[in-house]
Amino acid sequence: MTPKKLPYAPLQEVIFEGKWELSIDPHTKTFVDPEYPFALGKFQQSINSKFPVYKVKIPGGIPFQMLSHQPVHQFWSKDGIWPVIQYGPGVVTLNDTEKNYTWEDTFFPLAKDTLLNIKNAYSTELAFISYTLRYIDVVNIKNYKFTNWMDFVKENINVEFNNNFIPPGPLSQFNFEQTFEINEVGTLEISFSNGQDHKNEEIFIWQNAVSGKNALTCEELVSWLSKAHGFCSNIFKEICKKDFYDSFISR
Amino acid sequence: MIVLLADKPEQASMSTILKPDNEEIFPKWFVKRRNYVAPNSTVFPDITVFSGDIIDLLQKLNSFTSLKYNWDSYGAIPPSLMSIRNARRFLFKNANVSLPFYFVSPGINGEVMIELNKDQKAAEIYFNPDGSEELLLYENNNCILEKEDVSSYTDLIEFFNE
Repeated sequence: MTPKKLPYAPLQEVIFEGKWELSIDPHTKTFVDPEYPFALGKFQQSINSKFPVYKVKIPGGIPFQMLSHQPVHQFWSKDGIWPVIQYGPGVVTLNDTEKNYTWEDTFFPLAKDTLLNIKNAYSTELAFISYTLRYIDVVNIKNYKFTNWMDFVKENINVEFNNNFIPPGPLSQFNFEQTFEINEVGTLEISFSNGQDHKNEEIFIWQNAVSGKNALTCEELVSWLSKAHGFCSNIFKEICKKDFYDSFISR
Repeated sequence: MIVLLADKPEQASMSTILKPDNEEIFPKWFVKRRNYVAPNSTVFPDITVFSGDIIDLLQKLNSFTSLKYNWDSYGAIPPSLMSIRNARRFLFKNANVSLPFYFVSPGINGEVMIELNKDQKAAEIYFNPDGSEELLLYENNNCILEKEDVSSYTDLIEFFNE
């Protein structure tokens, strides 16, 4: 039986992002969220008891008409403590890290509440036209057998990785991205890359992101989110080879 | 005409490792190379932008080019362009590594010093006019390491993050 939460889960961040359709401002001919200034107050009030720490991502003075679909405000439960809700004209995101994350108990209920609060902050029905559920996973190679990146990927990930030419030198950086069409939910993006952490140590990064672009109501988006999670969860298990996956269960 | 400071723009993008906002609370990982790991991430922020602290240090560093002989009224030599350039490159390269940059100052012999400081630990890196570098590590005000070969800053990162 799959554990509800992997003891050594590689999850670094999970991001749910929903963007709703904007109106065209007749004067500036730009896309705007006309209710945004009023909705901000209502939305903040609805989450203030659980997310009292407020931060602004973008300096003041910039007209909100220029910030469409960009998170401007962050709401934290405590300073530097995830989860975080981000909000801006036409966009809301929910971000969490491995420390708190479980789908059933924390992330999904909070995502539903957040969408409900957004819905209630607006007087008109929102049409979500772009939405993504993204998982970013990272492992430090020092915790694994490592000789080179090509072998690391071959040994741990269920993808083929070969160069049919003589490499001119050691592989130092790579980035693979693949996007698959999935009828029920939209697209599934899988990417693998390497990088370095804040201690300059080598890390392997992989992301699974499910995105949709069909217009959905708030309630439909909640349903989509549940399906998207199913795809991300399954693909995570399928991507990882057994020993690699087992390293997230015990060491 | 100051030509040594005209580094190529890509030097800024070489350093794309991000410093955690609060690593005590939760350790975070950062991705090198890709400028935009994930839109709207709070763990992997936009790495195309330096923090305000780094920008302040870079601006201060650039201001050293205007220092003249006797800038301290005691006969100090102005920082050499080599010292300024190397200090600048160091900041660019390590801007987003988990290092507690504190301040930058000119030395009286034409060198530039970058100081890092965190709790009871401090480090001074000297960028000398002849292109050499020196690293001094302090703990509780006692110098615990002094070395001239500073080609790798792994020790420095470990020192502040252990």
